Amino acid sequence: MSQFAQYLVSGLSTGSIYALVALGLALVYRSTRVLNFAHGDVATAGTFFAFILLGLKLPFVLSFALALVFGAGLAMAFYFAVLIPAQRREATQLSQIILTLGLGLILQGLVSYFGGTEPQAFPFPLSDTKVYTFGGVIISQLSLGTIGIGLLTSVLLYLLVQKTRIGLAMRGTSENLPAAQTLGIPTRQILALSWGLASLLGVLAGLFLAPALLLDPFFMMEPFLKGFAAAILGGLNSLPGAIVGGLIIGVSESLAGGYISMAFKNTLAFLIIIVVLLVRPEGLLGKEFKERV
Amino acid sequence: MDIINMEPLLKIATIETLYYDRIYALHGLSLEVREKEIFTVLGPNGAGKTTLLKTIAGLLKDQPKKGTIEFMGKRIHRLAPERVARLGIVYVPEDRGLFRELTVKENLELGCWGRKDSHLQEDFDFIHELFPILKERAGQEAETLSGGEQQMLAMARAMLRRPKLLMLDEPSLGLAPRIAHQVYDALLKISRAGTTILLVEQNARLALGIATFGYIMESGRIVLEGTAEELKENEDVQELYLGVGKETTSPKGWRLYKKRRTW
Repeated sequence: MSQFAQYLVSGLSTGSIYALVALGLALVYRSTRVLNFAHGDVATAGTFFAFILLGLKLPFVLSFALALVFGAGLAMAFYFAVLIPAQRREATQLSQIILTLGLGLILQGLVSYFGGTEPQAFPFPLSDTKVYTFGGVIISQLSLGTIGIGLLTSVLLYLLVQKTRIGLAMRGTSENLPAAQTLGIPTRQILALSWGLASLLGVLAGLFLAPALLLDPFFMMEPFLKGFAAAILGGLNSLPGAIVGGLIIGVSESLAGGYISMAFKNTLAFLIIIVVLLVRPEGLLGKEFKERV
Repeated sequence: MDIINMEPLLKIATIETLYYDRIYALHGLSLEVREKEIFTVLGPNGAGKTTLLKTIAGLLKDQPKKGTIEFMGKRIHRLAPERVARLGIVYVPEDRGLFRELTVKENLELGCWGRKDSHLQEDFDFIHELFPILKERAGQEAETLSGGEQQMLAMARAMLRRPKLLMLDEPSLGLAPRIAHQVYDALLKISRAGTTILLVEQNARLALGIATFGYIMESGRIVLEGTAEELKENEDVQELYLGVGKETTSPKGWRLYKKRRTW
């Protein structure tokens, strides 16, 4: 039993990372119908930015805050400088997705060039080796912090989207763009905000993942794909779905890795995805897309 | 009615709107809307009525290709829809343009976007008096409303923007006659409260019942214009739009096609 609890806790910790990544993807998808393939790379760039600032002996809080702003700014700049002009030239959804892929590749190159491809240890205020024991379950400081930040972010995002005027405008804009436009809502700024917020969440995931692994230009690759899967599992247009999806994948990974074999770590998660999508193609909490004419 | 030399609120001069760069939807169309009146544009399916409103609202990118649209003496053609909206032109589309997954209250809240003035409560009182049902439905999602209630919500939300020009696309579409009359009564009240209205309709009887001036539109052109009274008297309008048939002519079905119009 305590072994199960142990797997559960470590699964929730990785699941929180996936959930953060998935939230960012879902946020962008539901507002602009674009799958952001640069999501992982923006997160990597942000994490490297923090790494550089830490190297300059800046305090943790400041470096991390600046890294979040950097990631958000990067995505917003991309939205304004590339996506809007592309949309003005009537770029299709697919070509916009390819544009994000291009951004990802550019960032990958830049990060490799400036950050180096050697894996490096990422300094972090929470320790991976300092552990607490709760009733037989061992949890590291870092995992606890990761679960905490996942929880905190989810709550804050919920409050922002559901309880504020900006959130209301975000929901309105993502549901019916022309209607929002004819009401004089500054839709571009609202959509840019969604992009910025999404990337901020991605960088946050990167910051909490890097200390558990080593930092290299491709360290967000796998979490990005898992987060992607999580977002689809939860329903791409649903924010709560992204969180649920992320946690399910994290936990099932941990259980499969623990009880069966590390070789099957990913198998169970994707079996679950296949089964869920067969039964509910729109994802666990996703709403079926109705094309409205 | 005094038709003295008053500058119209909206002035459209020979605009051309094209789809896919080659299909003419509006073909050198001109019309004017005077302040504080109800102007209506009537016409059959595919005449370009919706295109006309969308062109004014700025929802068709890079359209009109030619011609000018002036609002309060300012050129507004090819502006972004948000900017047109901020000038005080509010467009209620045929599909009502609601946020279907948001509640009635949230829809109305979004209608007040950018408003910080003190008249907000007044306006809420006005729309709740106009459509008391919306108060009851405040917590319901817009897509659960009936067609009539959705139209009322769309109009109420539009009024919260204090429009200088309210444009409606077929407000009677899909409504039971009794509900359609309710909607039109509300429109008349809105107009009397001082809002200028541009109304696009297929239901000529309803529209001419409240409008002061009307345009008849066919295949992207204005073919006839006149005061509501003049149009109601016009023989062709009577026959084609008001369904006042003459006994001597042959059955309606093919008369529509055979009829030689004066325009």
